[in-house]
Amino acid sequence: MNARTYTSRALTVFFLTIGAAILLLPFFWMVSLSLKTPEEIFSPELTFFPGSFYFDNYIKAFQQVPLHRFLLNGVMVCGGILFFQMMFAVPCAYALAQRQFAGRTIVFGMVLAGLLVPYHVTAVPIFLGLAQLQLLNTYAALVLPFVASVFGIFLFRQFMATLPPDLIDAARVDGLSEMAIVWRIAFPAAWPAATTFAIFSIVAHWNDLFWPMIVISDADLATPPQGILFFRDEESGSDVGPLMAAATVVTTPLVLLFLIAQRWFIQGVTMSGIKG
Amino acid sequence: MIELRNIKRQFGQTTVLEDISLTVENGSFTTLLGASGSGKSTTLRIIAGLDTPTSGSVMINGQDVTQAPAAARNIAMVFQSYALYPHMDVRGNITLPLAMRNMNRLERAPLLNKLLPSARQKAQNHQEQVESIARMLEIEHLLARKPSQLSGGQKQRVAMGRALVRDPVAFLLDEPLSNLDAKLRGQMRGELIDLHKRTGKTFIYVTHDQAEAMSMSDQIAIFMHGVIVQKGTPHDLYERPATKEVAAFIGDHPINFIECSVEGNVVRGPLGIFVLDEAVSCQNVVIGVRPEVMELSSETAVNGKVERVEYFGSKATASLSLSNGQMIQVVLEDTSTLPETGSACGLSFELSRAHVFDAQTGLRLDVKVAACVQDAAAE
Repeated sequence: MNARTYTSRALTVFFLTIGAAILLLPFFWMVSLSLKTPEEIFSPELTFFPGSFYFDNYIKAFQQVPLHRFLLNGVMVCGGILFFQMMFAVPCAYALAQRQFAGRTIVFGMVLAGLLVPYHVTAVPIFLGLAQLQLLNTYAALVLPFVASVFGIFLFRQFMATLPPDLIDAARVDGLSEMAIVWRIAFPAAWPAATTFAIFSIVAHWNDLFWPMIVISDADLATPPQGILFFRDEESGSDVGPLMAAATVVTTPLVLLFLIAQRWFIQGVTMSGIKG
Repeated sequence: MIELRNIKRQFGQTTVLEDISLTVENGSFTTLLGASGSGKSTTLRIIAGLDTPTSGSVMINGQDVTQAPAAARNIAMVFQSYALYPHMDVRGNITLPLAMRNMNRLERAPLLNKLLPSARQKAQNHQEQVESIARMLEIEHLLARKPSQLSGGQKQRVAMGRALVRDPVAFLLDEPLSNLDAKLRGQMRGELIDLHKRTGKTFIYVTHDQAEAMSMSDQIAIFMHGVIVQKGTPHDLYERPATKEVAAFIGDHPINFIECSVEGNVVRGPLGIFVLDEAVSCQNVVIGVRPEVMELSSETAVNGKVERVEYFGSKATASLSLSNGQMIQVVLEDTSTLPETGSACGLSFELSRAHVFDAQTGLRLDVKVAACVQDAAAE
């Protein structure tokens, strides 16, 4: 390696490191605070690392509010949303990618148009609709508005469009019905796209605060970020340690999920031509 | 028996198939031969049920299946690209068509099927069938591999295995050998012939390679521009081509066409004056002579100049230019003494094996060249 490429690489790594540090700092600070004693948190000097590991914050977090209940709600809601999104998006994407029918271009155009509309736009009509159906303050209110994902349809369609037509024909000759082709051939072949989509979907709905705040007022149905809010409301902002502990507990599953699925996630993003 | 009756297929304004009729006898090896875009693959897809004709009907064993989907026809197909399921191992690929045919929805369901005794019994049966097929195709050691870990020849065998494992009405093969290298192609050709003999099944084979078609088939249908221009045994096509185009398509060496003028039954051309056994009504004819029925001769008058000699070991070909500038190819069976480039030669051919075509329409004329009265240089 000559001096020039060495310098340019060193510079690249330097700037990337700074960027990573800026992004990670709030998370680091959250974890650090969650392990500090109350005295340490409010001490005038700024210390990066906790003096000792003080796990009481975590115990308090689970005792002061039903954090386990919020986590369970999060799993139920995200799991439910993901399940229905896949159920609808995968067959729909298959039809758009591999079948010829009248109006296919128009339907796909509508999917693309749907991508442009933020869900906040439809929030009020959907809220009113759910109110009419008397579904407010239920899991259904959290899940139903998101079961059809245009983003999911788009992502799977892009991936399935790359499947060779011979593969689908081979499956037809082998006696598979169109639905069997969707779930036995197209879906497994689009596995990287499924992982990518699952992560996007779970992260978005696990972290979502907007919609749960609109349709849920019952604390028993609160999602994890909504649950964190209870600390602020009930403890009037004084209990920073348990608050940060709860935030850490809520964030950890997402980090773990991403680390596990990282390999497929990147494959899915690059192969479908979508930049997250 | 598979029957195509007056099949027509249009994509928008373009007509891809025009009135295709073809009968494939049970147990026969039928080849659909033609250049790319001639409609042979579309015909195969219509037989498979992957495409529907615009008009006409498809009969399988006397039943009209024109509107039946592929899944309902029990036909096996091997694709040029092999089309193996990328996420399944070889065993899974070969088992899937069996599971789809023999098991009901419940027995195929993941997890649940472990509990059903009937599913267990069938699954075990299937494994035995898969293994016997794998043994036959010598791919037993590959059963646990994914398609991405296989070579082209191995993928080809797996694709064959997937087709062979059930008991279909017919095997459709869409240019199955064209992605293999020349040596492997020769070997697989032999294996396909053996396979056809052993299974006794109907094979319908699509190719653009006339050598494949000639060496394997009982019946060949030649496709050109969406119509079948001729069908028959390889022998028929070679000895009695129906048109100039067919004559040019069939044969290892490109046939020589010699344009001649006719008066009654007397033909005049660059190779001399010939007499036909019957008078023809057209003004010009084309005489087609295959390079392998021509020979260099010292007895006839000199009428060609050797431009190029290609030596292949078992045989050689010589290209000669005639006095009018036309090039003629001759296959030399005797390679012990090859003619010198630039030397002058006489040409003769087996009169009875020459083909006479109408120069205008390109259709075969049912006449024979009876005699040579004068060769060219003597004029």
